[in-house]
Amino acid sequence: MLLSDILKLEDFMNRKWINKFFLLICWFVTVVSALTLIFLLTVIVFNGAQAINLDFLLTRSRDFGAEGGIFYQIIGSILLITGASLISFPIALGTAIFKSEYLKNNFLQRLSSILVYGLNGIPSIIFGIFGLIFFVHFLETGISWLVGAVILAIMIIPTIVLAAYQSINSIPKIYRDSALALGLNRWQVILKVVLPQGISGAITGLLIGAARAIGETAPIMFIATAFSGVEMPGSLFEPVTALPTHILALAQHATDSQALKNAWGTSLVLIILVFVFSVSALFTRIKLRSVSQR
Amino acid sequence: MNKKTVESSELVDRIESPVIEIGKFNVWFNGIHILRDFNMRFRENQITCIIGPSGSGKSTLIRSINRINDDVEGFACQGDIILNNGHINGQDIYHNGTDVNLLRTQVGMVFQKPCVFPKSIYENVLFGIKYLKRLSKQEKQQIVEENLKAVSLWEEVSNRLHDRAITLSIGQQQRLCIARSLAVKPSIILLDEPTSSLDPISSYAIENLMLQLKKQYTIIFVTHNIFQAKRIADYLVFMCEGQVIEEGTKEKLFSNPDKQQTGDYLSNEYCEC
Amino acid sequence: MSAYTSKIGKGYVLSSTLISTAMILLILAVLFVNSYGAIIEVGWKLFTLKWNPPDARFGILSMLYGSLVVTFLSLSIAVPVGVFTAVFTAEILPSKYRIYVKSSLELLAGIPSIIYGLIGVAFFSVWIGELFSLQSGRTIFTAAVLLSIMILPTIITLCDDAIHNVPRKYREAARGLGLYKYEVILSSILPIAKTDITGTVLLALGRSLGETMAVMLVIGSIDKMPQPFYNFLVPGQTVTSKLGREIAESAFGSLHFSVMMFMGIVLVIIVLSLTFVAQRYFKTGRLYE
Repeated sequence: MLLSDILKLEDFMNRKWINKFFLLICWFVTVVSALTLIFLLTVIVFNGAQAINLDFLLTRSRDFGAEGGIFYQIIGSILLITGASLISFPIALGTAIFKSEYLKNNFLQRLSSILVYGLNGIPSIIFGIFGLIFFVHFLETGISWLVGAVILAIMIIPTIVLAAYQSINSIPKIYRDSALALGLNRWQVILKVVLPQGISGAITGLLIGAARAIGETAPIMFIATAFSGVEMPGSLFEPVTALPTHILALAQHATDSQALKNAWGTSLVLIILVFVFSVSALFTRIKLRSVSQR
Repeated sequence: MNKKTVESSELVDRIESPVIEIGKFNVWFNGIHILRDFNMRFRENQITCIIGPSGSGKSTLIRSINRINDDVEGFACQGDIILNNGHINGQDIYHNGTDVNLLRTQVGMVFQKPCVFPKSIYENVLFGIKYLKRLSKQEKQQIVEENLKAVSLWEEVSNRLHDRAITLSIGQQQRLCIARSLAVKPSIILLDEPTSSLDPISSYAIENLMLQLKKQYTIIFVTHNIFQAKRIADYLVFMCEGQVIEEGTKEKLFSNPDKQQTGDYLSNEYCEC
Repeated sequence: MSAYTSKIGKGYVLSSTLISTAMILLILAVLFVNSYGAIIEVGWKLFTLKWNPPDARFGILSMLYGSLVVTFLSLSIAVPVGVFTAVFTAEILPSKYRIYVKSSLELLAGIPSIIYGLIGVAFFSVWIGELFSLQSGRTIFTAAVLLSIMILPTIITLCDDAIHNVPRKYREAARGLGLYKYEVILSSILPIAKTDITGTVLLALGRSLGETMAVMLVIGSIDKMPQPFYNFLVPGQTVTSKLGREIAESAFGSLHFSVMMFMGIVLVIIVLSLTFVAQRYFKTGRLYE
């Protein structure tokens, strides 16, 4: 059957051109996206690099950050993240283990998923407000870095639970069955089989969560940080100063070129820290995958 | 090709000219040599079954005929495939100026897994043809009816044409896919193990369909089921490791094959290539 | 020994779970309790236009309007751009580059929002101010543009997953019928990816509504509806920006504070609903992110 009596060649030409046009649009839009995103990174790196030197990293800030360095801001951020990690890790790990080992009821599973992962959907400023009301006012802790660590911990718990849970779920059933067949009771099985896998998954989740938490401003700006005169906190209940809140303070003096310069420098340092956490998470995820496929 | 095969193909040549001529065709996927110096002629209005063990390159071969391998990464080929029918007459389809989309309207393909789009049965049949010409509502209805009848689906679905195609059984879905390909009015139909996902009854229905369709279409049917080949083939091509081991009419290969390997494969499904 | 450690172990995991599941309820409860005062004392008047606390005017509509406008504006830029880019990365880009593109997108999605705020202050508000000859470059439009850039990497990567996950057989079946690439994409692939893409858009909606730092720095913080209502080149206010700026200054326990809490809880309810609905759209992987 010849096609020439059915087709008109013009129809083909038309479609051909529309096809080219469509693909052209895709290219164009992608180039626009790419350029925008490249612009972002370039701006941060370029401007930030100009501000950073050893002096900047190691001296304290003066004059509300318009001068000096960000030494104590770095310390403050690290302190907050460390605290948040120590608090969130065991809670999240325990939750993941409970969800996968003890929770059999379908309804409870879904309910717990909604309640835990729902935390991920809450805007970060609400965490800050919650911390303000509950800890600073209600429990009267005052502005303290411990409270900041607690709030950040709450924020990243869902991420760690998810990662640990997925990691535990990927354990082939045969490992569990073998352990049970040897006569181990439930908790011993958990200890020997589930826990190691859960910990690796939780570590990945923790790194991902830390990458996010270290850059958060809103949760900590009312409750854990102060903008001036703060160095090392003397106790658990004193404020600290941190990188993202420092950027906020500096951004509000955008007309002062030195302040702006310092803001870029701080941003670059912050991004590098986020980057370090993200890449570490990537490595642990890859390592985890190769282990579970053994 | 050995002497005897040359003779039989010459014999056929005198009767009908080949509709597809494959000459010195090589295919590599990511550097791995899949088809080696492949030569073949396919005859018109016949069912040619391509048989052979897994990995012998059967799928690769027919997928090269409608150039659907072009979209797969790592694909490289050399050699020519010449069509002697319809719009692309006497030209190598791998020639630079070939309109691949036009080619595919002339050479239809049915895949191993039935693939119905998430639309109604009606819209599925029209899926390919609607891009080729403007159709009035009447013409659409006519095409749907005509092609569903051609695959013996019409009585089963005529009262629910606008139901989603996914509600059909797997066997019906595959027949729908064939109807969809037929609607585009190709002259050659390639089938890549179309019944391997189906139950025996659906498979049988499709085999019967092939026997009817061959009067109007040239059918190239890849299968790993020897009994199926025995039932429907006019001409058989036995492949192994990317090359033709033997080809000939069904009668010849089953009763008196030239090569030891052919006999082994056809009786025991064992091939030591 | 084993019975005892078993008990401790079970206690540990159970209490962990109770803590993590209770958190969200605690947060909602705290917000609600503190907004109660506003609901009782201001009631329906909360949904009026005028915001002037010294005058006991607590109309939050301007803030709600600002949030909605900024969000919809930013998505109307970011979604088309993101989907077309995702079509490119999933269908046109050769697969050996995929890993670099995906990794870059993940890293970009991780840039803290305060840094976007900084870029907005240092560049976008200046440019937009000059481009439109405005008195101040801090406008609703600026916030929307900034937000769209923020949300773009996430939209691209999730839509790319959605398209990439469409099984190969659909592409081949359509191609086999002689369809051009764009016809395959429009009629075969996108309809199947549609649910995941919808989920992505809903997720992006939720995140944009909840974004504080970037918006706060460039929106101008004027608690009024723009005149006329479609003029986006004027400063405005969103719920998140308002909360960010004024919570610290608002006296705890006062009516002012209570109204802010009310705004907070409205925001949370909307965002949580969106996130919840979004999850139901995602067919493949990527749940709960």
